[in-house]
Amino acid sequence: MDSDESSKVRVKLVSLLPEYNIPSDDIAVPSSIRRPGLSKVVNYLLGNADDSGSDSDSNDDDDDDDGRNNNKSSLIEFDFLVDNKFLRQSVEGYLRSNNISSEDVLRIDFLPKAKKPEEDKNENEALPDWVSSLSYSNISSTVASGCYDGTIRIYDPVNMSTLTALPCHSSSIRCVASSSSSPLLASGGHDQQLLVHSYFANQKSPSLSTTLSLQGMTNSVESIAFADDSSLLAAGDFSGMLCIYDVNAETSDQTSETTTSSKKRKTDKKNSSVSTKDLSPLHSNKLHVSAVSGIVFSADSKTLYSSSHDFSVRATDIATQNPLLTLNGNKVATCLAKPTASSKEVLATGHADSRIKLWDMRVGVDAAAATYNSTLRPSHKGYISGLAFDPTDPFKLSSSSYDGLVKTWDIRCELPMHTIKAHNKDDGKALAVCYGENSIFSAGTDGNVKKWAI
Amino acid sequence: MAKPRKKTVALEEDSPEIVDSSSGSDSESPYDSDADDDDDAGSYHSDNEPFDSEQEGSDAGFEDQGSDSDDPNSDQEDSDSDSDSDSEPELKIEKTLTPPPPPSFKNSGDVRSAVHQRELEKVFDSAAVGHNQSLLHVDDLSSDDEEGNNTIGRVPLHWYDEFDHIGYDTSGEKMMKGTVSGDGEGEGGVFDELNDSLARLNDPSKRFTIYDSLNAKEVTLTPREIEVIRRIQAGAYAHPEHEGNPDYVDYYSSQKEISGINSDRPEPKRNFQSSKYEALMVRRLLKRLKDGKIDMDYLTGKKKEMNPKKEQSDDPFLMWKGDEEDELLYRKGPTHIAAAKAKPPSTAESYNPPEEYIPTPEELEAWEKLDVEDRPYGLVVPKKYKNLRSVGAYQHSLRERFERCLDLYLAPREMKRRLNIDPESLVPQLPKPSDLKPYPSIKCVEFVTPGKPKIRDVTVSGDGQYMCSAAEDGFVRLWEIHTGRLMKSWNVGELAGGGDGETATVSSVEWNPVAGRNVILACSGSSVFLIGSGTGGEEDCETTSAVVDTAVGKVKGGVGLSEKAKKVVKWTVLDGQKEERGVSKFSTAAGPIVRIEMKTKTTLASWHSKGDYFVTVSPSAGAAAVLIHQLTKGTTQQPFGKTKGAIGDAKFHPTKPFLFVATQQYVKVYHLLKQTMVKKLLPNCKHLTSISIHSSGDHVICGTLDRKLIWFDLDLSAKPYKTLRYHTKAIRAASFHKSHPLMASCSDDGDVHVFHARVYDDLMRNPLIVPVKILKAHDVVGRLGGLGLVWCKRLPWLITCGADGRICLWQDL
Repeated sequence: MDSDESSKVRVKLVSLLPEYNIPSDDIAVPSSIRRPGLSKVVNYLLGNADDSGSDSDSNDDDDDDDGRNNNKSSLIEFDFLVDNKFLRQSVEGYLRSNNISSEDVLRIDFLPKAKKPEEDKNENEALPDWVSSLSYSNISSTVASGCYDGTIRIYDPVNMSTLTALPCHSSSIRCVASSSSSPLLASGGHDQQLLVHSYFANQKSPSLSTTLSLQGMTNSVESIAFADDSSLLAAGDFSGMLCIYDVNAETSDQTSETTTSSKKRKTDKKNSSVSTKDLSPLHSNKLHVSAVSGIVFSADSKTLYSSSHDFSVRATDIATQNPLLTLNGNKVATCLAKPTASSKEVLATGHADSRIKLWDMRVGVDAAAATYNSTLRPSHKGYISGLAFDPTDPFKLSSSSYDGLVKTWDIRCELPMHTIKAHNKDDGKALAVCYGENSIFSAGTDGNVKKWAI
Repeated sequence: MAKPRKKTVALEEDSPEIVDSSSGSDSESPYDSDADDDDDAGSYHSDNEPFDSEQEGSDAGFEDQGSDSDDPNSDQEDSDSDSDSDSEPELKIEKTLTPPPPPSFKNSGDVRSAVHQRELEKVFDSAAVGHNQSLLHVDDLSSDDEEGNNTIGRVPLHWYDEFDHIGYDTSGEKMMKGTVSGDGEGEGGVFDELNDSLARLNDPSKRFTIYDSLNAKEVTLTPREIEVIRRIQAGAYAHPEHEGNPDYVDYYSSQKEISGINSDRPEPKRNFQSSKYEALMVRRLLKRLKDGKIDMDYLTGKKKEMNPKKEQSDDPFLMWKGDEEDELLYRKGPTHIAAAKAKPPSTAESYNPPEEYIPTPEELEAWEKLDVEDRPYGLVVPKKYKNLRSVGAYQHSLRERFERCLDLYLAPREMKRRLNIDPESLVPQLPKPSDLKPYPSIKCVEFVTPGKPKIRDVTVSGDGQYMCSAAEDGFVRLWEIHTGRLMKSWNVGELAGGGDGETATVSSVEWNPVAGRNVILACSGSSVFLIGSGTGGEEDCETTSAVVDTAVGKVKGGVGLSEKAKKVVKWTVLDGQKEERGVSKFSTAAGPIVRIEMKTKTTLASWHSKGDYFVTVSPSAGAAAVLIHQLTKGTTQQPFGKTKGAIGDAKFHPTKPFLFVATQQYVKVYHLLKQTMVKKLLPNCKHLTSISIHSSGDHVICGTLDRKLIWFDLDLSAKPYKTLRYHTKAIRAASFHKSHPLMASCSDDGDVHVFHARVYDDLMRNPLIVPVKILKAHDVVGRLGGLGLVWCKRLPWLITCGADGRICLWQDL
């Protein structure tokens, strides 16, 4: 510990995770202490052996020494939150910038520092064309990618081997979405088709077959979302049209006749006579003036949130199709994400000007909710192409951008946690990002689908 | 005055004599002789007489004569009229009798004092007798002189020291010294004085006896005289009789006397009569009033002047006279222009300059070779002196002085008027660019064209999803704007090249402005191609195919073209290309569908805003340089019989049936229905490259090869409203945004300039043009930089293309 003569601050360190509980006494620490110093304090309190005694306190660089420390010693890197914000400066600086008296006891929460995502190398060949979209299905534990050559590919998330591929679009695929409750996959593309596919997770020969062709899209399909209970699917197109379909009803209808056939298919391995049914939308509404860039359902599947190139983010009641909330920004919103792990009505939008904004979508909270309530620092250097929340952690966000980088964020911190140089070779663009089981998947114009372990 | 008069009676007998002696001077004798006849002579006399302070005395003397004289009023008049009485016969007689006294004594003042002396004596006598007390006052009138008979006048007495006499008495006899005891200044003067003082002690009367050396006699002071002396010494009024505070006698009182002077005089008649003068003035005023020379305002005093100086007369006059400062300055000759100030001495001319000023020998040598004017310090060679004292005379003084004088004499001088204006105030107040957001400022997407050919032109689809580029390698490429994805490419250059391997460059592309009609016009070689983009939704595709199929049907039927048009164009349906699949599932026609072949190279094709007509420009085709085609009918019209000059650009008015045709130096506006030229815009430039019409249709911007971007307000004038000269190289393209108040121009210098260009609905307000951003968009390749630009639909985003093969999408920040 520092034995400086500098001023001391009394802090109370509280663990957010039960396994790192430490005595709840106040400790006096030098006011100039930063995250690494505090981390050492916690490790000391936890009784972890300090193998690397020569490690300097002043090493503030978050990204450099993570791997080394984690590997070499039993020290655990911690990250600290004060007032639900990550501490990214000295304690003294925090106190000064927030006008807090240094005589008060400062409560600091801590949790293990997020690991830097590591690339999970695989020998997969790059796809021949751009990969525009990714989707992880937790039912079948597969990753689906939509490619500009019009093919949907299903990967095994363990070794990223291609399980199956289905060329189903005559033009490029813009978006894919997986249902979280049934092995359904939806895809939409420039050819204006919105298709729903069923994935059959046969161990030997997993297959994908197109089951539904959803009608109602008037232009190229830009965004698709499944509701959590999978009964509903929403899709938006470039002209601002937003359609809601009840795919479950249709498939259940079909079940009567096709379940047997699918079972038959499984047994017979005859997939020649797969019939594609047309399905009309439950609701269709030209909600936006310009392209619908992102759609998410609320946790209770009663509200639909959509973002658009016309700068607006809207909340719509699904049943009545009444607009609940319209928030207007001033920049083109290019993607939309919602934390699935929390019921909080928070949205994140990515923008063409490389900003990520967080929106409070609680209906009825006036004034404060009129605009986004916080903006993450513009860390990307290009158009934000994709956003995804960690399904296990409502604070964790990752973003992909045309600068080829994928960044992981904690929305309690304005700065990104980690930056991954994913697809930035040869001016490549990262086009999509999604979370899987302890991993992040990213795809870009280089045709690679990369897995990053977290 | 009554008292002296009484006294004069006593002097009557003597006074004629005295006057004689005074008037008996030589100079006056000729006048005197004439005085019998001429009364005026007396006036001379009186003038010449130096009366001085003895005025009263002489008055007394002459008044008696006056009583005998002709003038009865003489005794009432003042002394001047008294003197008239000199012309009396007795005086003349006396004068002849009296011998002239020696000239040196001829002093009338002495004569007078003699008179007074005698007077005094008489007074003393009478006083001794106890006469009337009032006589005592006589001495007041002549108290200055107590002279006796001596007539020598006021001469120093020592003149007579050598003589035994002291002077002459009035009868001319010598007055002998020592006639009186104790003859003054004798030899035994000491004893005399002793004796005198002893005598004074003994004789009380002698105490007040003083010796009059002039008259050589002793005078005993009277008690009154002693009293007078005492009073004078005490500083009181000299006369014991004088009363300091006399009783007030009010001769006039406030009480009106009933029978006083003028008390019975009646009021004069004029007091009861109206003034004739006033009547005269009233008549005059009335006359002037009648004549209109004055009015009542003037009479009542409301107006000071009846005819104030007229501000403007009918005479011709210099309108601006006096207004100009110059006039004021030159009114009295040319203004003085001060001579230019001589240069103050510099450090080099110091007697003790710093070391760095002192030239080294090499420098000195170099200086000597130079002309005097080119030397750093002129004639002066900086030199160090120990002290100021040792500095010698300045050798060039005369020369410098002469040269300065020569300069001042020969050089013409000019008054330079310094404008005292803050230069900042002349700069127009422009709003901050940050207040004019949004405008494109950062690069968002870069579209990478394979092979990096020069990109000539770009265009955006009606829904803003796709973009088309025209490349010099003959390809028309279809891009997705938001991702920068190349969707399709069609080699129209090969088609235009004639099939023998040659590829023509694509010089322009334009997407049909009507949303839903996904047809692109592309100019390549001498042909214009209609390309189905194969994008859009189901409805759009239906619309497009309907339009295209009509055209194809008409062309195949061969009915559309007139005979005249057939000479210049040939419509062909390109069947082979049609099978290509479009981006959209619904698209039926993707790729070049129709080819319109012109005789010469066609550089430009531009849609009308309704999306049916389009205009093509073939600059070297003469009369067929500008052709108007109709898509749905597959027809061509040739609007002009002949065209003057090479046509650079042609655009339709967005709402009215006008066609803007840019020749090299003019922009001509034609009314297509009336078939007349409406307007001719004069950009005053060498070579126009492009024009763009504002969506209101009232404003036009032109880019020129001579680097100017020229804004025309069609309502205002045929002359440019603004000429923006910001680019350093020729401007290749300029364009208005359809919905945002934005304008951009790209130039061979590779830069793209973005302007805020707000056009107000209010016709009285001029458009506001503010440069907001310079985008360093393109590299210069072969002296070409940015070649084309297009604004995105709805968004304030700009797409530029350039000679470096790049296409960039610029977004607002």
